[in-house]
Amino acid sequence: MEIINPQMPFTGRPAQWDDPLSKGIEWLKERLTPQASSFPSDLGRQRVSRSQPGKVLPMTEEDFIRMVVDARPTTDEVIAYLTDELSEYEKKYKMRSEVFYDRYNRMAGTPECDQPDFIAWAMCYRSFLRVTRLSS
Amino acid sequence: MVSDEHWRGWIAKHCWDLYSVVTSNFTVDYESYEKFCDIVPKVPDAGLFRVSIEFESAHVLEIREEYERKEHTVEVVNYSYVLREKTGKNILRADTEGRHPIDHMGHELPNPPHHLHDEQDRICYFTGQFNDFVERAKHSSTR
Repeated sequence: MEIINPQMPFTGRPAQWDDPLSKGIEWLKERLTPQASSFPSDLGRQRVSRSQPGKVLPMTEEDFIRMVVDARPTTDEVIAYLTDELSEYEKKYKMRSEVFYDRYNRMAGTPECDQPDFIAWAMCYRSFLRVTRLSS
Repeated sequence: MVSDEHWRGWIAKHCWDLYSVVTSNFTVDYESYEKFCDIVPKVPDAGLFRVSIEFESAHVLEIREEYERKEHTVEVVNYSYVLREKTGKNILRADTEGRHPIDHMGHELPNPPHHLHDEQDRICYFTGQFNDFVERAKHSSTR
């Protein structure tokens, strides 16, 4: 059992750390272990996860572009990406997207159309129409 | 018409650049990065990029852009950028929707349909550049 001498200031560090080699190893370990605080504010340079410390993101800009170029999502995945949002608006405004879009087009350019939800809904529905037309 | 590889590559680079502008101006949650990486591969097929990015400052930035493949290039044909509070209240937004020939002072807008709704929802001049929106958003979110 370690005896703590009350006359000596307690540093919280084990005695063996006074050995220069151990100190060096600990110093290296501290710097090689990703810390939560080192999450990138600048994407692509540092790639360490904050929510999962220790997890290193695999992406550089080049990797990312290659991933997107090579990706071949299925039509169902793309449609799901769009219908998630369409469903939200349909529920919120209790209106089917095609009904909304028809009204939106008739009011195009008016201040009534210039609302964030309506713009988002219209953009999403337009994309949905394009994707479903291409896939049919 | 631009090739499929060019189309996908252009969108990937463009989305990466948008996200980099955001992360170099705001502190962003890691979950937003994961969401971003999950969404972008679907963007070329959908022709639509939409993402909500939460900031530690209790603000949310919503980015929406619609892309079109042209003869020799790719174009952002419509966009909507919204800075809002997490509670849902809009603070600042810019888009290409609605006919707004003049700003709230009665001056003719030089580049319609680009315009910005300021903190009082007044119509103001906007360059159409995402970087400029983020600059303005940064200022608004620290007030």
